[in-house]
Amino acid sequence: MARMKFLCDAERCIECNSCVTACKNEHEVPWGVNRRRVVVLNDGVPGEKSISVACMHCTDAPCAAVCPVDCFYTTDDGIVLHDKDLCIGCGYCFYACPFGAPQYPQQKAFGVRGKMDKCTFCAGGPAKNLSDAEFEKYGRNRIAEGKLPLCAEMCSTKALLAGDGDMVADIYRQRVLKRGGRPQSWGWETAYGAQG
Amino acid sequence: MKQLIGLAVLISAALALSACYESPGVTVHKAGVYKGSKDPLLQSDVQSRAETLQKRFTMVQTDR
Amino acid sequence: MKLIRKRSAGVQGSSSGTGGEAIDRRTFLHRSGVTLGGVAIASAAPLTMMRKAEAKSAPPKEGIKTELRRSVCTHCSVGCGVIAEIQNGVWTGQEPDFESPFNLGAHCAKGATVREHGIGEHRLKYPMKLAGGKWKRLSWDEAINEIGDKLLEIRKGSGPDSVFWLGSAKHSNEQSYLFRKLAAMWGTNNVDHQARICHSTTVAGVANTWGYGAMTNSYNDMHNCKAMFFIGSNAAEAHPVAMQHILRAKENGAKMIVCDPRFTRTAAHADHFVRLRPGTDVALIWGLLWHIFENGWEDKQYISQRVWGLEQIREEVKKWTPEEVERVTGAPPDVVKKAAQIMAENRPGTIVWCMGGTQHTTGNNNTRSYCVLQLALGNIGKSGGGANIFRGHDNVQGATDLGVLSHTLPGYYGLSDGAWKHWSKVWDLEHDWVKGQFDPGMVEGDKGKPVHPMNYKGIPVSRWIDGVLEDPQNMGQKDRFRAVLLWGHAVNSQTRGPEMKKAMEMLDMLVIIDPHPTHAAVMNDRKDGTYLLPAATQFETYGSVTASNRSIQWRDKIIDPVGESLPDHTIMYKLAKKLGFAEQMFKNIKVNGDEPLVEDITGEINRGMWTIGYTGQSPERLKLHAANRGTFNTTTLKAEGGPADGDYYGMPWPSWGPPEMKHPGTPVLYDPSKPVAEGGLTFRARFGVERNGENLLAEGSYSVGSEIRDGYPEFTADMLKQLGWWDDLTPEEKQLAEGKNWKTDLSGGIQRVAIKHGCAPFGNAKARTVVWTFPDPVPIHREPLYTPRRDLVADYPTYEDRKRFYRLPTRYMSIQENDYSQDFPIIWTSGRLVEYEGGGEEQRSNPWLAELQQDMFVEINPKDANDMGLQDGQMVWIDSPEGAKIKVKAMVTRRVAPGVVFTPFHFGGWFQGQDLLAKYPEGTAPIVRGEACNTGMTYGYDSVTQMQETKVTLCRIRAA
Repeated sequence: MARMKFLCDAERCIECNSCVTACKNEHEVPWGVNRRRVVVLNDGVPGEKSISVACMHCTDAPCAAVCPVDCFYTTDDGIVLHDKDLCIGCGYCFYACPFGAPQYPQQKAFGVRGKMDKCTFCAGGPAKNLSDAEFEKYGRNRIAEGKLPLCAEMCSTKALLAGDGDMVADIYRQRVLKRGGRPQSWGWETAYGAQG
Repeated sequence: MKQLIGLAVLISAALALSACYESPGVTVHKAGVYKGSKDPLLQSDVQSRAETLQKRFTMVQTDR
Repeated sequence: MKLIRKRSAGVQGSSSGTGGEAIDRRTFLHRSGVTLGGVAIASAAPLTMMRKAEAKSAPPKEGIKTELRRSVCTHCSVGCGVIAEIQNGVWTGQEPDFESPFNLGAHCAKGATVREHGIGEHRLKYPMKLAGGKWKRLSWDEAINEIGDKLLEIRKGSGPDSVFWLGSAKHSNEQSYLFRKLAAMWGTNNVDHQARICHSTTVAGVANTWGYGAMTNSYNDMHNCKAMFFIGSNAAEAHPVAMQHILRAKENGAKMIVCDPRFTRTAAHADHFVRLRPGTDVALIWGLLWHIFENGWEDKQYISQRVWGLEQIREEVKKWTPEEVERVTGAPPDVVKKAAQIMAENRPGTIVWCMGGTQHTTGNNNTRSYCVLQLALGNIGKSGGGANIFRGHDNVQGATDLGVLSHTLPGYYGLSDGAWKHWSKVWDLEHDWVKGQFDPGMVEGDKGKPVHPMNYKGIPVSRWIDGVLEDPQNMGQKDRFRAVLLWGHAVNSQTRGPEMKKAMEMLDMLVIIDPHPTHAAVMNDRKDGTYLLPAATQFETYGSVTASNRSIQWRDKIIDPVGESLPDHTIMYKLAKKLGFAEQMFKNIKVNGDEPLVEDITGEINRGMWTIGYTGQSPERLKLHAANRGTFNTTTLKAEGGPADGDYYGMPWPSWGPPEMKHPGTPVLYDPSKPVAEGGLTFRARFGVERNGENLLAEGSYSVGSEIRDGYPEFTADMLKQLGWWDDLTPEEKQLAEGKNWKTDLSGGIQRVAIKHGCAPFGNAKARTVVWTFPDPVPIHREPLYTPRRDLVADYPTYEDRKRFYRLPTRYMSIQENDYSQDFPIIWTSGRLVEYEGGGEEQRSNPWLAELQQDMFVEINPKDANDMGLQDGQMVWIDSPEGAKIKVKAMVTRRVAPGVVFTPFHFGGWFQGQDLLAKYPEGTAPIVRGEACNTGMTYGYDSVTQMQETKVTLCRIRAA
């Protein structure tokens, strides 16, 4: 069975932010909320590297482990999703998440957090597939349409890969082999364990 | 004033974050079973979905 | 995990006020209110800002049929395919165009958000005018009538040359062609567009070296490179999807060198980085060549067969010892040598350059020196080699080819009587009628001789403000500009802001035709006579567009024009009708209502553009390529089977002969390893057959299958007769070809027969490294007008001032002789950000992009910041030596060297410290506004093309 995974190849990432804006466009994510972002190390000096980061859909997801209302579930293909109707916006998952993925849109009063929002691997959420209700709460459900996350599908350099973990790893291994270099698969072990 | 509040929140958050970093493994609660609504996606045939997505991956994300 | 912590700590640390610490751009953004880091940071963004910028949405709806339509991205020259999802005429989503061989589905931040054009919350929705200082809504008829009447009144009083027609690289090919024709019908050469201030020095320099002024290979062909040399190109921000091909090349083993004053995001991926002082490109290139000649690394056979004049170059290069190169450029000897060695040991290698090389007073010298480097290495005319000149806007190649320029008609025919006669014939008009549209009589030309206005190159976009401000006594035309039409042009991309403001205020009329009001609508204090006409974007119409690699792609219409906006060609028709020459202008072009038929315009282009082979790409073939784009190989761009079998994607020009000849296009220029009929080529015989007794034609080099096994001149009817090939023409062809040449024979027969015999219609010559018609025949280093290196001014002075150059006096020495470096000690350069493009109106109005770049900033090295007592994130003034000042945020970073500061050029909507928000028509102000860096950029123009100098000036920085 396919296990869906993300991988960002730091050798190919050029910090162009297309993953960020593709996500915003696809799901109409409001200003101030970023399901995906690009992180830069050593900005402006030799050794500069960038990585695109979002929810990695971890095996044994730490967010699910700390959720006081048990609103997380994992699909058969390994996508970690949550039910916004249950979420109380407590923020525990943000502290548990090694990738800083959970986001909390502003509510009316200053400082009050809304329900948690995060990357869904473009798989929507617990609502009728491709319904208006699903779009409004979770964004589009590309998986139900037979498509993969748009951030990866539109990545300018194909640095960000999303799909069956084995296929992703294959492509990545080929690149590493060709480059003859050290792998730069940032976050892979943290999310999926040493076996990847 | 608004900026000041913002700054205060920033600083306290940063502190909270670094506190969190010191003990990343701690959980204070035993995870339960998912209590939310059913996702119709889970009802669909996972095998055929996997095949569709694998085909899609080859089409869109490889260097071709 | 560490990543997040570290970055958050950074926020805290620098907020507490340590000055002079280098930070990363993301941390800088946090302080600008961008929320990337989750819970804490999200709460820090001011509420008001978030509400204001909340995107209007157009989500997909369940149960409604979704249709897919295809276009091409309008944000750069890579030519990325765009797939739109449409529900009931509403643009609800974007899908990756993975079949496109250019982008394979990929987009950059801009391409991934083009759907916002259809939402268009901040766009201009209907025509408006400024009356008594207030914006007033107009109908299209009222607007066209008022504008037309004013134009005709000005024409009566001051002649047709008193109107400046500023077109756009955002036009489709058809609109570009029509725009040039419009100016011709109006009777002026005062027509230009962005190419003047982007790659004009490339086009002039490169065309004068080997024939055509375009990218020789393609982004895709870079997969075959063994080395890639970037100079003045920051592809990671300016051409992000090109990086897909570049990084694939790197994975294939290519070595990547980046030369730039900044450690750019492209440099971050390089194997070797060379930092140079802005404005010293020739010195650096000659420094590389010094090693190449010293070690005998040049390709001697290639040079003897295909290159002329290299001995004169050698003489100049001898002066550029490693020590002198370091003295001038700042690049250490071992770093320069290593670059030369990488290029020598890894062939074929390509060179890539962009604005960093072109936008200088010596831009044409820079571009020619790059060509010489590649010729010496034998890299031109080879797959994996070439001069991969990345163009900027999506159709800047096409708009250049179609002559939206003050010095030529479409197809680089120039402005001679022969050129006008050729085009008059294509237009099916009497040459005398066309001539009658111009100001009669002669004026004193650039060389002091009398010239007819029709044959005299017009004032270029870089100098339009001088066309208003200069005393008409000193100008090569009857009167100054009294009206200016800014058609798809961001004035914040032009230098000398305060003078521009003054020029705008002197005009009788200012017409802005654009999807947005633009910086031009608000940066001046005009009270009347400014018109805003809402133009549709290319997603609201259809037609063809030429990518950087010369491939032409067909765009389909995605949605109806937003609000009352209209496509450019419709607006042009309305104006032509009002001005009284629609009948002539559209003689062979069908007009439906007020909309000219796009395919008919493409057809007319096909019938006239013989010089560069825009003749084979009929609308039918272009549509066939678009529909079968998945059948083209992503490296060679050749269709493998399918209906377009054997063609190259988009038939990169030249695609010789008429469409029926089925020429596949030319994927790599000047590549003799293929027959001309299959996309092979030689260097063009453009400069005669000999020079000072030396043969300028190729020797012993010719394209595969050529029946002439040596060099030969360009083809004419007489030459066909001498070769005994005349009777290969059909009787009909003979009739049209008699007395003509390969450029002017409207039958295409001369081209057809030449190619049948394996020959290139334009001849087979050597590339010339010495351009004897230019101010500096051998490219030499000259110090910028505003330079801190007074010690070098004596050794490398600029040019003498010129009395008349493109109709205007032009200053060089009279500026450089003043020492500004005491009061303005810092070098100031400018460049790109990935989220924005050009003047940035579209992107700064798009919330998905605007959120990522909210503040205009200046990059300052920590050393300078500490010396000046400046802290990261604080507001500073940048003062220019010409008296302008801009207020921006300081960003302290080691990306720039000490003594150099950098600003992006996409901001607008502020002027010398003031936010102009109140001056926009309601609801049309961009979400993000900021100071335009070019307000402070100074005087300086290239000695061949009038390219503006925006890459080196001086400034002073102080706390605001």
